[in-house]
Amino acid sequence: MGNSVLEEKGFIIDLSNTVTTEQLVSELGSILELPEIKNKAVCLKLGNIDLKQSQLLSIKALIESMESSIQSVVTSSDVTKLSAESLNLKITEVVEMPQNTEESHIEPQEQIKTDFIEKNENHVNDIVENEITGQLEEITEIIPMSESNFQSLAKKEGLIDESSLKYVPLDTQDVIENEIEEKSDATDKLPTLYMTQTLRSGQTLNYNGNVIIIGDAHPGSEIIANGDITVWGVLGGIVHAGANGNTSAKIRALKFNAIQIRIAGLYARRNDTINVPFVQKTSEFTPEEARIDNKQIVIYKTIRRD
Amino acid sequence: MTGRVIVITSGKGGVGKTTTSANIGTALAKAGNKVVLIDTDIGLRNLDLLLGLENRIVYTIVDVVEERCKLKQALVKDKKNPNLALLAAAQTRDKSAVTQEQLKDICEELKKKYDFILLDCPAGIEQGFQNAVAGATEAIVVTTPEMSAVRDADRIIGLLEAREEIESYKLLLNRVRPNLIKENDMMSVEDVVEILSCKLIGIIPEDTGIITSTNKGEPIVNVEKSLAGQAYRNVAQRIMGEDVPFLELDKQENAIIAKIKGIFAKLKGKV
Amino acid sequence: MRDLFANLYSRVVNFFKSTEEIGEQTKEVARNRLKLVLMQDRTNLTPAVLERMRGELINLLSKYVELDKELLDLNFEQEGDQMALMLSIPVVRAKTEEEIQKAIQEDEAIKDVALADDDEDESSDEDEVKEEDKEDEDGVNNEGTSEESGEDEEEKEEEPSESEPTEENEEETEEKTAPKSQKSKEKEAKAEETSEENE
Repeated sequence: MGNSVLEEKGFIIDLSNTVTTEQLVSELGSILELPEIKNKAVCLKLGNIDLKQSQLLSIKALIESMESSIQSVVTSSDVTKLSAESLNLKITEVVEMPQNTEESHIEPQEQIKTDFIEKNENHVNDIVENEITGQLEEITEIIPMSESNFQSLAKKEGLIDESSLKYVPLDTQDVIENEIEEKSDATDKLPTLYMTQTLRSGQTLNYNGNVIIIGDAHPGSEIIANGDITVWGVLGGIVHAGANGNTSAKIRALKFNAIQIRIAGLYARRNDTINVPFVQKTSEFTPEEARIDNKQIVIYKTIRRD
Repeated sequence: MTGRVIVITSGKGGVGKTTTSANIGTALAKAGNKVVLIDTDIGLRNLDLLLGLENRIVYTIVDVVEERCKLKQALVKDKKNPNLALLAAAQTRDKSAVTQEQLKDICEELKKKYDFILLDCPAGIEQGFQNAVAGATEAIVVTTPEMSAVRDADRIIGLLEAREEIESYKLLLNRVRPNLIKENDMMSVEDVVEILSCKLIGIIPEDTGIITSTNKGEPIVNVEKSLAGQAYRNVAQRIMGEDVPFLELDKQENAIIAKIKGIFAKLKGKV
Repeated sequence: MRDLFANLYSRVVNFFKSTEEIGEQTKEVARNRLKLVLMQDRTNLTPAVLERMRGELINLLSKYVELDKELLDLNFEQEGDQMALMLSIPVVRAKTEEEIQKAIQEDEAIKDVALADDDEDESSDEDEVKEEDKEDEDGVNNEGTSEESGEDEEEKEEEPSESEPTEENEEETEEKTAPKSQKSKEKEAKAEETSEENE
């Protein structure tokens, strides 16, 4: 879904469920405390709350104090519209909220999406379905093996903002001494464990083969397998596929929020700048697969079907 | 050079031991000392969360004790401050995984290289507590001005007094709310010190910024304007031997709140 | 932001609070409870045991002065490092010399009986003493006795009460003279046992 990209390059401040200025102030206050609010172009989504020009100006000032700027305003209130116009803010319209809120979300976002794409062209991590068509796989992210690779990669592709990467390599050179003998066996011959429960914090799953979990893996849990690991749910926690050195092992999840990704001897950790809620239960899934390509952990967006 | 081994304990849970450990450790490291923080709450680890290092843990204290790795491999360096290292607890075991002797040995080894070794003790008086206190020579007893916390602190002080290895123990009063004290709804600092008859090393005011700092994984001592952060920094100074006067809590006004008040007033339409 | 609301609210409430007369500050209540609890924790004296101690002290002191038993205050105080037991006794009046002498005599008599018990002699003196002691049996023989009976026994001893000579086992009276507290404990144990059986 395009949502994750937008939230990383731009920001939607959704205050549409606030009815009074008190609510708006308190919602805005907590949003402004998030780290990723800084330096973003913001779409200010209001509901039908009426804001005077002075009030809208104060909101604008608060947002600008976080070094961000208001790209556009979405509102269904005439009063607010007038105020926004008088402040030279771009307005986008939304019809009354229908029962199925999904649809109403899509409309303004798609508009903003095209705006952002025009502005920020040098993304390696963009998932823009409109642009890349006919490809079986879309790369979400390449996690370089070491710092120096990362630098050169950044230079090659133009501009990569490291803070927007979801995973960064974990420098394990002085931590892990043991050299695991690397091999590359097909994993489909291995036995497979099929579990239909959620792994909670503190639970470790060790298996000599492939693992399938129908459920979530909460942060604090560990899955260590010699083969592939597939989580039909939200993957938090630590996951280690190909633990015996098998570099062809893969990790798949409906939602990839793992604290650490380990395949064979390569380690990657979740970036600190990404603000992922501790346990994210969601019905919006983004299936992804992690595997090793060219000595790097790469995360693919859609699952390859050979 | 031998480092000082300090255990941070309380008896009662939830009074702020882990927050105190993280912040005092960070403040001491900022002041130039080499500090290692040890999370002894095996099975329920939290110190890594407060420091924001939960993503970086590969080996834990149980791996060290069961010889799957060397001590050095298990020490995770802090994101920002290379003077600070964390020895994390295991999430998947429990407190029977480590013995007092083993913890003592680890402290002995770390003493050679670090100025300060801070042990974050779990709640209770059972094996977790016994382990944590095993290697320590000094103690900081954390309590809040609430009846149950003070009662448990009294018990802990009794237990600490009975141990010869603990040469000194000091009291840290946490989550103090000066406005409640003024209304005589909360016991004052003097009351608690008198009841426990223990020397005071710090008074930390209640600060909602603690919640934010925990969420971000950024100890509050790194926030310049925070009152609690300032109080923790003072505690670190006192540990290092300096005589810092205690903050006057009721006279402080939070600058950020003043700024928001102004904006709030505008939003309300009254300028 | 939320701080702001909390602050405003508490300020408004406090404004109204301060203009009212508040009974006892909650902090004082907390402090006193805490001190009591800590003394108990530190000295292993549970409220039950403390009550007994108080009762025995009352009886002891009542021999020499007339006390207001309700207002007798027994507490631990802490002076810095030292813990001290503080007893505050409102004296209603002094006892007359006769009363004091009588009390002392009774005490002496009890001691004699205790010594004589070893011999298991039945002398007339003992009979007299035993008759007096029998007064106490009334309280003791009640079913389901609790510590109250202990105090009742002792109170009866001091007051010039009617003697109701009931025929009881001599063994019981002999046992009773020495440690009366033991007796009530046994009674308690028996009471507990019977109640357990009943269940």
